[in-house]
Amino acid sequence: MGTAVKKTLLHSPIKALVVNGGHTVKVDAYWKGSTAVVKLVGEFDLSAADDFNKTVRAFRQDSRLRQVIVDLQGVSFIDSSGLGALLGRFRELQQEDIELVIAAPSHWAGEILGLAGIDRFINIYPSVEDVPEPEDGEG
Amino acid sequence: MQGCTVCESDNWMTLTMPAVADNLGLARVTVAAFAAAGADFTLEEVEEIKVVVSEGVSNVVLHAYPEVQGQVTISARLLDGVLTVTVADEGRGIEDVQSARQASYTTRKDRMGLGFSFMESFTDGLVVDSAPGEGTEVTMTKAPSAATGNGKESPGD
Repeated sequence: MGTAVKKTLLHSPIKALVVNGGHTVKVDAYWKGSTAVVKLVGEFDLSAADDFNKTVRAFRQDSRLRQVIVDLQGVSFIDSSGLGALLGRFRELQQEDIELVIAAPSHWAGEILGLAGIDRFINIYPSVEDVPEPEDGEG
Repeated sequence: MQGCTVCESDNWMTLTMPAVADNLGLARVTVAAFAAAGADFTLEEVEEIKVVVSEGVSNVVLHAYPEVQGQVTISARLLDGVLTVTVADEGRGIEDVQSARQASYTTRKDRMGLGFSFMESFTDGLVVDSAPGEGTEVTMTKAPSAATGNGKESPGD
């Protein structure tokens, strides 16, 4: 390996590779018709719950919202704080007849969701594309 | 087996840090790396260790210090291949430990009360030592399934 490459690696911040500098999740969200797709990448724990909650609540302000898909494909870790945030937002949205569903959990995340019994409340789909459009959706 | 000098002996670590949510990842990764390096845990068991550490430290962040900034101490010990993890704080303590350990018990609306359930499910033993005003110490033990023969994936008899 050339010294230039070595030097670049040595002088790059490594914290993002370790624990993402404390903030363990990245939230990306976009509209798909009347559906908000909230894509999480990283570790869904207590430090990530706030970002997730804020994102969902921002979409909730918009009257066209009929459905929220939480895309867990990029989530490598989830604990009871992540599950609590999912169920909390599910219940909140349910009061307004807005559906929250989960898409693409990893094998491990799927086991945790099952163990917690989340699948009794929230529908889980293998991918975002597999989620049916909301019943009275116009988009 | 070559290369594992501490497997059959005694190794330990202690980590003390401010009890804040941003430290959860560091606590999980540290204990998981410590356990994986010194005992025969499977990948799934290392994931379980991450969950129980996360639950223990999250409890401290959420409940131990309602008014002041406090600290959490995470100790781990590997003795003859069996892991013991202790999560300790000097916070307000738990009034009714038995109720707090019940599944679905929660003092907050956005929570599921599953922290202790996960800690129980993913370990071989859980002891909660707490009194009001005297902090809380949660101790969990976990042996690799390969060592105990209790593994779900262990080959048939």
